[in-house]
Amino acid sequence: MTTLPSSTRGLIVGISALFLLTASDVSATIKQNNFPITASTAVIDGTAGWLGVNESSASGDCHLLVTLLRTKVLGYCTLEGGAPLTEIQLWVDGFDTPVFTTPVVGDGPFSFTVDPAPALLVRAFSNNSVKIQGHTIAGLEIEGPLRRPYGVTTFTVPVYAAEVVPPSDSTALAVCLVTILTNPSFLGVDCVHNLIDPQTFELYGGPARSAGQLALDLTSSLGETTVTYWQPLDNAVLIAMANDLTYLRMVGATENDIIRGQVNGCRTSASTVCMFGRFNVRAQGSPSDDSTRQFGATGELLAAPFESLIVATDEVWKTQTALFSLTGENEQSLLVEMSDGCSTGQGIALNIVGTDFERFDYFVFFSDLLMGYSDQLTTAGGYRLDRRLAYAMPCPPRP
Amino acid sequence: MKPHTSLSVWTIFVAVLTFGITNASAQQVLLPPAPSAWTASLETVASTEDTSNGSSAGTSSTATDGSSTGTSSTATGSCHLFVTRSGHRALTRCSLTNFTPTTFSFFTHRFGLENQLLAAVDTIDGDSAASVTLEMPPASFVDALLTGDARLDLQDAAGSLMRGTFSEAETTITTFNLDGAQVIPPSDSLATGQCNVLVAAIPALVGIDCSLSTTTADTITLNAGTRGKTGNTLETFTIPVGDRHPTAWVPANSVLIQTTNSPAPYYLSVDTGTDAIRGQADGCRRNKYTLCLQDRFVITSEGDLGFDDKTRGSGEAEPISLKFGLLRMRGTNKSGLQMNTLSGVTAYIKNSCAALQTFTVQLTLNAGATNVTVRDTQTNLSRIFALDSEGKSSIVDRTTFLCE
Repeated sequence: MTTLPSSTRGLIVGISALFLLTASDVSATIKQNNFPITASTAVIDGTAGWLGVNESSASGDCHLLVTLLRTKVLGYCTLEGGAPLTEIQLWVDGFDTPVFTTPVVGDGPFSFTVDPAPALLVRAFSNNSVKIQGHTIAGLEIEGPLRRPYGVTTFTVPVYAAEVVPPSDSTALAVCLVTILTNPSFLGVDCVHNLIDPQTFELYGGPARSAGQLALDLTSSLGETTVTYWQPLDNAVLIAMANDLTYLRMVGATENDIIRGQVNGCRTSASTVCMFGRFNVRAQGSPSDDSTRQFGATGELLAAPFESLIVATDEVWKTQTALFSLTGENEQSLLVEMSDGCSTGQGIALNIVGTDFERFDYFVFFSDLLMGYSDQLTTAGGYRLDRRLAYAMPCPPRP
Repeated sequence: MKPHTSLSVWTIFVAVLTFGITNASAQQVLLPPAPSAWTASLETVASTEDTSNGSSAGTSSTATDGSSTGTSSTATGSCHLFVTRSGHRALTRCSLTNFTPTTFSFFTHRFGLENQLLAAVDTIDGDSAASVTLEMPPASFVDALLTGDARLDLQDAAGSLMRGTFSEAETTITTFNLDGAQVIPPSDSLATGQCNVLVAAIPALVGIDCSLSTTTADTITLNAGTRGKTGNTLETFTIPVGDRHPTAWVPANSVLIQTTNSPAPYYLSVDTGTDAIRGQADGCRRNKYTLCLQDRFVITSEGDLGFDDKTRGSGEAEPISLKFGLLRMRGTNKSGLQMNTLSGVTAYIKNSCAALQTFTVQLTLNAGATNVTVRDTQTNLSRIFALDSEGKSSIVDRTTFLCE
């Protein structure tokens, strides 16, 4: 068996802890997104935008983040021109009253939090049926629809003692979902932690296993068990994050109670799905109406995290499912299921099915960031892949 | 870090992020929106001070001062939750013995965070058949239902607790599109609406979830009968005037359950005060084992439930979009392990009506021999496909149903 460096073993411990934090033995029959949801008024197709109405010259942008726990929606709006606002409202199509109203003062920028986030609002984001309005004393001044923005990347970051340089004695653990919006640059940090009496929470610039420099103080976003942050991000920090050169650091009540997590590795974006915090999966293919050109399929992780696959005494498989699509409304889709049977000693299984393999080709790329292994599978020419055990992606040694 | 020298890296990063994205909406998983129902069996909690160590059924409870609360050790019951399609309302209805709740508290314990109180509602004139309605329920609670992490605590006037965790109830859901033209004779109403009827045979409850263009509706009736004809009223639901999104969650009689769980024709009428609108059950009724695609085609499967077990049964339906879904085989193999994978049938129905005047059925088998039945609810034409991964018949791609 390959001997892993201590830092890797530490990572395994952290990921295992992440699994424990999120494990659920209940089969979820209704699909749901496992990441924070972003929504934006940024103009992407000529129809969106937070623009003045009633002959107002106001313009600007709003960007919202729904936390993983769905407890909060964090909003940030800018305003240029027009009259000073007194109120911001969120509306869901088909409902006669705003689902959220908050007073604001002046020309912005405005930060607001919807807490608790109603299910109506969160569900409506996925249907593109939410709009945001800015009101003045005289009435409606500016409004725009909220859509899912381009260029969103999410990292799952375990934060724990072994990552600290030198490693600390802390037994605390945090799991953070770091969301990066690239245009404009925004940073979202959404964590759960069990640090007692946390004092500071910061983002540093620096590579793994090295001490770095403070880039951003996130302490004001610290809660008793959670962290929620959603603010514009300096481009220099964004570039550092793109190069895996940032880490989160949280300090508790004592000087030894420090945990850290590198913002790197497995990331989820519109075209890449991170499975089990370890495997990067992406797909590309040719739609049936254009067999000569290939492009990346959009991908999304589905279902409740770590859904129970096989249950027996002391033996639990976990599965994650990703849906890739070459066309709108999932017309030509590919389902990739990855099943972690490591607790049973049976490796990691892959299963791929699609809607229309006779007509279009798919190429699926897997990268195991933990073991450094990559593979490519194809469904070209109607060839279909059955469920199989992917022995090339072995289980990590048990901590 | 030298940000001023990293422009090329930045450019690559942006290019990677935007690679292949041609349609923002394609990033989303389009689900057939539907209401849902959940059931919690309640047990008494030993003490009100003990809120984290689970429940202790069949024991007398005590108040925080140590005195007897008067809760009988025979206190039992269950509560049933109905969450609307849009998520704008959650209705709870309980059936309790020897317990009269005064407060309903909704908790989650997700992601290692224990006992998060998300909402609490006091009952008025509570009784053993208590019911409460949560307006705008928190998203975190509705999400927690999906992962089995949503809990209900009931407290009575003496401080005694009953507790249960919600699990998904087996339901049948039918969708109705209502307008005046379907009324017999047609009404002049310009109102329209869409309703879902959800029936949980156990515990015999029916949920109504409507979205109407009018605010004057005051009554919803569910009637037996085919399109173009009137029939007997199976149930009448009184709704408050002024609510464009009326709901109900009430006991269902056996005839209603039998009608809604079978292909029997029935319809929904909404009385808007001056006139009425009506919608016919489209025959496409969704349940645990039924996919409903294109709002028209019912797809079911029957096959091996496990990889090495020859026990056969129905595949469980899992919709991905209005056109696409899975029929998963979940069974038990020889060693007693529960199988729960993608194995089964991927079903997809393409609307080619504009070019070919047909719908095209595409089925992909990913496990053992499976029979798949596709029924067109508009023509009642059914076709059965015998798929076998061992042979040459694991993919069906060219079978069509006429559009008209």
